[in-house]
Amino acid sequence: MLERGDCVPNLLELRFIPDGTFTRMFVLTQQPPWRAIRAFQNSRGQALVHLHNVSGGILSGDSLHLLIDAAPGTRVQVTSVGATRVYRHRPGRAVARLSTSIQIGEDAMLEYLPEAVIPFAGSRFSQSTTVSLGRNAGFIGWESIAAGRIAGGEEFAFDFFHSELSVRSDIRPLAIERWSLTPSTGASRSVARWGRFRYTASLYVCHTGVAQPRWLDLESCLNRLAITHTSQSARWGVSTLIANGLVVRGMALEAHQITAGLRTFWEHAKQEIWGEPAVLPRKIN
Amino acid sequence: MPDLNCLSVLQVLQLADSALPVGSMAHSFGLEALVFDEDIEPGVQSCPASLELYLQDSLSESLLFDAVFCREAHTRALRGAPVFDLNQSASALRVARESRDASLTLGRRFAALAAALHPGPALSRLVGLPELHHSVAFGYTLGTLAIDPDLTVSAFLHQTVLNIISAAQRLLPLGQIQASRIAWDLKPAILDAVNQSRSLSFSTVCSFAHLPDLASMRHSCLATRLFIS
Repeated sequence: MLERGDCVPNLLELRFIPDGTFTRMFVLTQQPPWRAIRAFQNSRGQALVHLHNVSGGILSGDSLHLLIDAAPGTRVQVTSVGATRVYRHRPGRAVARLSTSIQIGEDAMLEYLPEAVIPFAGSRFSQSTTVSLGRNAGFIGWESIAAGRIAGGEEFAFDFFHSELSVRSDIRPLAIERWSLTPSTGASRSVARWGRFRYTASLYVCHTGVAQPRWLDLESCLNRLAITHTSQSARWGVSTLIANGLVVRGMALEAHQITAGLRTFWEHAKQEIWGEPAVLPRKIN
Repeated sequence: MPDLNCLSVLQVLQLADSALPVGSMAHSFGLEALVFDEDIEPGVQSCPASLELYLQDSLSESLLFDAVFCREAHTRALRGAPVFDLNQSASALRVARESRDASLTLGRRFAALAAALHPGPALSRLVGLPELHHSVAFGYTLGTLAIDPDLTVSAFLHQTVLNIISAAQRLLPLGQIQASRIAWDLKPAILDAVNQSRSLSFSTVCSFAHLPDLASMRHSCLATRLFIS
């Protein structure tokens, strides 16, 4: 029996399987507010799926779960149709939660390219993302976070934002991010945290079949690109992970700088590692 | 017979000395890039306060991570448990390559030195690990020496803070008395981090350090560098 204030779990479960030269999507479970209508084939044979949240954002008390299983040999691209807006916390309701679990099978490749997360004033949000890579599997995923509704003059007005990200191969953890921000108790603008920036973004590029020397070469190449994209109002850097991948980090004053930078690094990295162009997900709204 | 408490203090003083020959003076852990980008204010008047604030906030973010890993390694040394997973987690959490490599290099050198000073199977096993972070090596070694866990974590953080202040003296117009003042004034913040580390687990501890991580990633792109990281 659910009590007032408890989270109601809402699950979207997607499975991708190979079908000849294409990848087919099966929606195993779809509970409101989640909606995944169908998968499109893009020009590179990837199954492109748009994630909808029909409530328009994440409300306090929401407990959204997204499970994605990309079977061996599949090629998948997942995106959201708009920014993830996290609404103001309502008294008596639980912290809003979003949990994403992505399994990528042997020889499969998945791109997870959602729009930015925007925590509104007074919001309380906890998100976790886990990515498990099989042998010779690839993952490209980005995340961008705004300090609030910047256009409305709102910065660091949220109550609480907790985030966990884990990317691992079948051998070891490749990358872990785990942080909590409570602007009322810690100086978010500190040089030890955000500094003077309003947006932060990370792009992870991983492939369990690619050895470390190639990642180090790509790090050098992308860092040269990072220098050209760095200015007074935007800063980029690239680093090889402990194994099987690299991370690109950007911080900026304007959202468009993050969007443009992420696309540029994604295109270069995909061309270098997979030898093919990155195809921007077609948006349907 | 030597006084064992005094002996422990003397061992800690030696192992936590910034002059210990493990190469810590060659690393700034991203500070050099933060100074280059003027995130740490470079002015004679403003740099001491700016640096102190950065270190104080780091003690509740990235340095708190190190404190928790150091304490966990200390606990495992007392139990004779392995630290393989601790090092793997630390490597995954340190996404910036230069800072990660710096921590691994210092960890390896520290363990080799400690094993030479205090030979035994526990530290020999530590030296043999393919991946060993400084915080883990320090905590495990002092655990093996049966040194108090709070003193161990305090000493590690104190040494780390002193190393960063020392790096700052080479990067900023920061005088010796000002540097000493910062180190002195940060001791309560160090003890706060030590206290927090008691109740935190290495598998749940949080740290938001996007700007320092970004600085560490950008460090290799600086035209001239005094430090390896």
